[in-house]
Amino acid sequence: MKLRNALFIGLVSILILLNFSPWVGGIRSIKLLDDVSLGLLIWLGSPLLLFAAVTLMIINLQKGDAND
Amino acid sequence: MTEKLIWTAIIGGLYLTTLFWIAVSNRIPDSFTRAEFYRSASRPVGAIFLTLTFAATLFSAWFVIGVPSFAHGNGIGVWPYVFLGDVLGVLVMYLVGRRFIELMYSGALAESPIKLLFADKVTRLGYLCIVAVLLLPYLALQILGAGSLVSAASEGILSPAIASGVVLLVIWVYSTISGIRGIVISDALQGSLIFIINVILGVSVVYWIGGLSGFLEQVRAVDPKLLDIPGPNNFFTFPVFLSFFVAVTLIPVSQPQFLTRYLLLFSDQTSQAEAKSNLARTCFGMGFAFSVVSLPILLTGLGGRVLFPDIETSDTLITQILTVYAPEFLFSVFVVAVVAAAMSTIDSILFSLAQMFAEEVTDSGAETPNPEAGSLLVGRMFVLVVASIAYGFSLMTSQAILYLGALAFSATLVVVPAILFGLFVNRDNAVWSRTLMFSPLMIYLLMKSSGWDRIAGFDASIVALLFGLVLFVVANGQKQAS
Repeated sequence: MKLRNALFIGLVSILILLNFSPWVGGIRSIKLLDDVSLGLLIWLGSPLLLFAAVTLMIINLQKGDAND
Repeated sequence: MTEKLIWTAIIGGLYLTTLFWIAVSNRIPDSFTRAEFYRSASRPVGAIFLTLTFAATLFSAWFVIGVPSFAHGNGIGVWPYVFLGDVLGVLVMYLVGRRFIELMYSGALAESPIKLLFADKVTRLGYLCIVAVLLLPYLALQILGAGSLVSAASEGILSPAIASGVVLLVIWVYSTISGIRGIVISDALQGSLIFIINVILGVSVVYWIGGLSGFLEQVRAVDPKLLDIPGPNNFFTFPVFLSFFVAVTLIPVSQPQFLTRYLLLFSDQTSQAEAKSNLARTCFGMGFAFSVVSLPILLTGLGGRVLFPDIETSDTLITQILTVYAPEFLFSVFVVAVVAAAMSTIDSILFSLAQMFAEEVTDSGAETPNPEAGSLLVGRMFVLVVASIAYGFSLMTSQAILYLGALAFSATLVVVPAILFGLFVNRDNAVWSRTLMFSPLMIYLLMKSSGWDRIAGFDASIVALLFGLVLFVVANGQKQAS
């Protein structure tokens, strides 16, 4: 259980870092299409992934409560 | 009478009728105690209503008008502020709500959130004074926004000052009739309106500029910096981003209107496990609402820049879009939705402050809650007094209120360390409670008054919060050691 929680926290942290990436540089410069950079897709998509991670974390905590 | 005015009168009339119907059908009979007035203890509130009441509390008029205007001026950097902070805020809300449930179901006094958090009365009064003072300008901002919009929609029949007064009167009447339950259900109406109108507006803006294909090219053609960080005005620097992000993420801890809503999770009719499951469903609902509503808000702002690249101030963006492009009907629905957004934020703040204040004033020191109706009167009168002061503030110049509102909202972060301490570490330790409540505030005030309001680009509220969190870690460590 603890390992899973740690994994979720790790995933959430990575997603936050990805959103910081425009300041860090690098990812944003990779072109996926002519008009949309991969960085932009990550920028727009990562909050959705963060929502998924948050959902999984809440489900995980709920399961932990039920087992207690 | 113009077509726009007729539509506004019809839709506004429908909205007000529904609001009062909700209030009257949920009115509190005389026999009910203040517990019923404040937390609907005998009738559990379902996850859908909880989602909408939490969401409506968060979606202020600023969210509907301010964020698209922000994106119009500063580009895509607004995205993490709107969405990422809110989504992470959902997780914070779950963790805080879960702890509140555990405390309430362990038999702790659940008449006021701050009584759950702090045994020490000085800390509680300190919290009340800090948030009341800090939220007054923010409250005034919402009142001013609603009043100005109603005045504009009435085409000058009502002056902004009179329109603001009418909005406050309506809020006072329905919240007095039906208490927290009425507010929760009217929040559901207000939250749904805001939700729907944001999506409609975002989709409409995309349609007006010729569809999604080529959307980014058109934005880039106006100014390539709109799709970049820190944006055309170099606004979204890393410290600014972090300051916004932290302030938004911690709203479920710092704002009194949120703390009061956690009490709704407790009910005599449900078990602790059911309450936690209700909270989880509410959090999913919140996350889903943000997922659906955030992209249209961003599209409205960026698309608005394509439609109106050269307007003088971004604040007028939505009005301009609606005036030029939208049919009269949509304009009127939008006006009502924004007023509803402001009203739900005003009633939430007023009611939560009144509830906590009434609990403190009528506190006899007894371990069980006092069921007399006296505190109801105190609470109702408090709403009237605070509303009057906020109304006075709203008559100041709008620029001053905008500045104070934004400043004060982020400053509420100073109470976060004390709340975390009361919630997760020790509610009975008066020394640490007071230290954590007042020392971040002192740091904040010192920095602001000395004119040294940023350190390495970080706002005084963030510096004060960090200072408080360091103290929190020390306090926690001391408890572990003992």
